[in-house]
Amino acid sequence: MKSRLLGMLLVTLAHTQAADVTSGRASASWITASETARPGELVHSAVRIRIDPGWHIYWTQPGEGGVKTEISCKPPAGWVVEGPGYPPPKRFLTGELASFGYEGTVLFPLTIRTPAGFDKPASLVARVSWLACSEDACVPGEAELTLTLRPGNASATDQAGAIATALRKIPRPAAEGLSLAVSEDGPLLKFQLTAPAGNGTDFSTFDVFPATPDIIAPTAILRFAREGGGWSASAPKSGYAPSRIDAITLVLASRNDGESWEIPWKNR
Amino acid sequence: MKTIASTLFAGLMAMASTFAAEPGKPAPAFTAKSVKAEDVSLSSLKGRTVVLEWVNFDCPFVKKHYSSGNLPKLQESYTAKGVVWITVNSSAPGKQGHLEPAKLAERATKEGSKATHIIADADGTIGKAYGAKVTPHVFVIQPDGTLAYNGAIDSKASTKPEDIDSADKLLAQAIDAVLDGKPVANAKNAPYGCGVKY
Repeated sequence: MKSRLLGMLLVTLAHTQAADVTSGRASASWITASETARPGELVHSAVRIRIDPGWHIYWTQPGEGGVKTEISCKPPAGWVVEGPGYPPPKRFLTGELASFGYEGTVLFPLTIRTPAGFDKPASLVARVSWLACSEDACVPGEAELTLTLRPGNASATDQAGAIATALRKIPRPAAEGLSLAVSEDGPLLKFQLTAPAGNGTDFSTFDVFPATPDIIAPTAILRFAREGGGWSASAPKSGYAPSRIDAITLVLASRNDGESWEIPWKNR
Repeated sequence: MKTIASTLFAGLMAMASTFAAEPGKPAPAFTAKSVKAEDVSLSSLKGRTVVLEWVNFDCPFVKKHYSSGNLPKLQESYTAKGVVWITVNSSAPGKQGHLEPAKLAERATKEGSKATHIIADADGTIGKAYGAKVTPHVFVIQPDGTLAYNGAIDSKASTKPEDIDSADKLLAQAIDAVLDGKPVANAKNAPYGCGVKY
């Protein structure tokens, strides 16, 4: 009886838990909110990377040192895979080098649309590569991950909640009417954020990250404060900033509710 | 106010340390013993074009350029043109890539190094004088002792050897310009790699 229970438990685990691939001071797996879907339906999934304590991997803009965590998936004909989404990063200071990345467990959402003629189980493959660094060393990691989906009514797995939470954290395009202006003041860059009337967001409670490299000094911490009717922040330019700054995108991540925005600026 | 002041201060400090070695200015002087116990002093290399390359043989970005043979090839072809190529290892004891001078010499040979000199800079003196940030971070010094280049080995920030061929050869272009007595087009750019393990 005991062994039968254990057997059932193992079968259940095999069905609901994606295989973890261990590499480069982390383990990666492709988790899904549902293992079944109807033809033409959306399935939320995520590449989950669990990073060893004391190590970190990198955001799309790694800062000084490091390299972007890459996730690529070439879906079979008829399938659509969107993403990955990159959650707002954490800032790391290793020696004097400032970088942007993740520690602990991080989920990179991938949204899948099954094909119109989805009538038998199908497997998708994603290739993931990262660089894990600690205070003392850097090691590369890579994984080839497989996700199998079956036709049927969607049924939430026990990962569905975590994936939904991860999706909410992915920066969204700036809300209507939210605009950024950037001006140069000697070695400083001044950022002015204008919110539409009636937008009560307190932008001083947002962490700000430069998604564009080599514009802001990576060690600078940008923080918006009220100024006049809007919000302003300033930071020293990167020593690598071009003489004319053409564009920069900031990611603003709320420290309160996990909401985040991607706000681009172009020099016209 | 305090926050703004400290942010500013941190930023200015970062700028100061970042550009210890500014193209167009005299390259920071240094004197050191090579792993073969030769005296290497920048001032005695006046009249020669000098390349400084920061190394950590266990860093994936460095492995990319050695396992592919890219760095050994660059070292071989430019030293044949009279360039003095100095490879510097600033990994501190206990950190990744740190090796005692004799072991560093052995490892460099095993990796195919064709550098003129290899220096174990375990206390980071030379690395910090140049503001070397990552491995590989490269510098080119022109014959009159002026720094001509401070930046990346090439334009593709990856650990994949297959990216080498399609990358802009930033370091090679800089050395070629200096050897031709021409200004270096992209004299300062952000290097990529593992942070130097000071």
